[in-house]
Amino acid sequence: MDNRKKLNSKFRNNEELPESLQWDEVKGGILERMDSINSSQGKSADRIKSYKWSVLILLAFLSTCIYVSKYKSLSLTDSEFVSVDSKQYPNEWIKNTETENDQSASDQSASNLNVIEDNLISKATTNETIESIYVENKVLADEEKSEQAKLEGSIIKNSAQNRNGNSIKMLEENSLVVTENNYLTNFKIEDKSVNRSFSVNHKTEENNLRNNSSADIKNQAGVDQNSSVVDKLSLTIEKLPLQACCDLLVNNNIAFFKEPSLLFPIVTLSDNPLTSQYRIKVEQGVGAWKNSVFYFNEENTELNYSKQINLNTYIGVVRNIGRKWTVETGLKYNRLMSNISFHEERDTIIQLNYISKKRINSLTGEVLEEISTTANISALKWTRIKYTNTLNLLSVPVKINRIFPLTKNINASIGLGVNYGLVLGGSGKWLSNQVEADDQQNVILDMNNQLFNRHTFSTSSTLGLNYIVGKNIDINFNIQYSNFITDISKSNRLELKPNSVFATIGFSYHL
Amino acid sequence: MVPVHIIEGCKRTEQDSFRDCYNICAPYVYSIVKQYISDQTWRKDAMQETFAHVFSSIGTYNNKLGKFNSWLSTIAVRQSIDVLRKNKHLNYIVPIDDEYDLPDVILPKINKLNTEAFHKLIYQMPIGYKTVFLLYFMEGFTHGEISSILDISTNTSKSQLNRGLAWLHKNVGHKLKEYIHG
Repeated sequence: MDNRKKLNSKFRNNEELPESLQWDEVKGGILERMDSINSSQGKSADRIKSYKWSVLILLAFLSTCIYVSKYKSLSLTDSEFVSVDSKQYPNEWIKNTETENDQSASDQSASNLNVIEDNLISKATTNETIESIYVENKVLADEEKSEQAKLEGSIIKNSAQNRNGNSIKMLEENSLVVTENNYLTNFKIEDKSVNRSFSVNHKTEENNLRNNSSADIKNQAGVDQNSSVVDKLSLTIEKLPLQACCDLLVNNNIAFFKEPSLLFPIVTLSDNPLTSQYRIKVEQGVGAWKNSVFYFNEENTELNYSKQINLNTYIGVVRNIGRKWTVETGLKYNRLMSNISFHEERDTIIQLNYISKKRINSLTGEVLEEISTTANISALKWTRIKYTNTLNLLSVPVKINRIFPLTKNINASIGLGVNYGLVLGGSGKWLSNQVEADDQQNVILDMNNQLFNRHTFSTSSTLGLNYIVGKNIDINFNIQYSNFITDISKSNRLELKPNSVFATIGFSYHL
Repeated sequence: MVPVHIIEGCKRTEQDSFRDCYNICAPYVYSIVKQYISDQTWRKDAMQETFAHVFSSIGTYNNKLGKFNSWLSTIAVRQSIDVLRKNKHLNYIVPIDDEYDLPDVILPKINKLNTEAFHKLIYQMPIGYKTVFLLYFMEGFTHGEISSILDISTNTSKSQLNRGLAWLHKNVGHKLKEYIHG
């Protein structure tokens, strides 16, 4: 080790710098190299930052999914009242909601039955003009009153829309909330001329519906027992014990049930109807992309692009809004790749053989000998250069879809949406012009993260097919077109607004 | 020794501080680069790479952790080796040799050389031997560290060193009188 130290101290002394290594000579090279080192360091720092953002967004997305799933589970157990959409819900949910209130419902049933009978009798025996009829529906719940108010408002609107003369008021769209064995219907008959109203609660059991409800009403309200209308009501309810509704017709101050119609088609859905509105969707896509303008000079015909490929992976949540509309959002990772090639001027060394000397016979002029010399000459050479440019994007699409049922198992869809995009980074080369005074020169520059705007927006449109495989799983096939509306590039000389067409295939799982 | 205010100026990316730092450190860096690289063009590349990396990462330099010259020489050595590697002059595909017990014999002889003679000798030395020899004896790296720097196995590093010592033994022994100062 002593020998090693001796060697170092003896032979590691300052050396006199040659002229070519003076500061002025090397300054340009050092600063240029520093720029490239800093940009690569910045690139890795940006990459780390992008990954952090990606993880944060992913965590937020997963948290939202978990929260939504948990919230919906709680809704089923904690809340007795469920907003009724007749076309969405199965019979099974009623079992869940009614159990605790079954006894109270039964108690209320008797009193309600008395009320409806009393009021209908009262109404039938008066000669007052009835302006409008409201039919309210509710389920047995602690929040009965508030929901009653809500439904009442809805039905008033329907009533106004369907008013048909003074003598006959018809309500076309009433919802009748049905528990498994019980009906509870609240009829409110309002007489605006004398500022009076009657509230009629009617609850009956399915098994004796005809006897207790229809028959009693007919008899005590003075309805003609031979009325086909009433018969229809009875028959309909008999056929549809769980879901049915009726319109109420008032003519000559007598309340009739008129032409019962089916508003709640019986639909068999999953056991958990509320959360079934949500789907998790996973898709993998591949396609082509094209940027509208990528280089500054359109006259530069040497610039070629090829193999512009878009690969993307998408995970999202879809929510049904109504039967034919869905909204969805999620996370999509896009990788845009393209091969770019152009001519580049490069320094090269050319070996040149030339005749440097000739030995000539001075008398005859004959060339006796030629001496050739080889020289290395520095020159510029045009070289065709190929690079692969890549651009990585993380986007959050928000999309609304219209569903078109084709067959029992196949739906088509059209979707429109906007995407927020986070540029994770890019790499490769691009061609720029450096305009300095009168000199215009093409310069090949590295694509790095400093070249790109981090936040972008794009629009997307989708044509899709959805094949229902099983109870919870669908297979999706989509053709998507995406168009950037903001420029990805920061540079004034480079405009980058990619258009992309791609096909995706994936599946969705009903939560 | 580089004054603190120049290092601080470099951290603030002041051009004058870069210049002053270069003017102070370049002769020392050149002495390192010169030993590793024979070609003058590559030496210039190595000098530029070294100072570009020094100025780019001078923000991370902490004088409490070591001398500036040590930090500088580490960067210079690594950049010199990178330049050699880029130019494909570092190929280490050699069999494992038996170890020679040469250092104790050779190094005293080398220490008798003057600087010029040493540089001549090093200049003539095959580049593979020379690199490992310089890393081991001049920079004080272990074979494990050398294997990491050169991306070779430890055995290859040992083998190269032994071969280098054997080469020196042969050449110093024959021409010692020629190299000895005075």
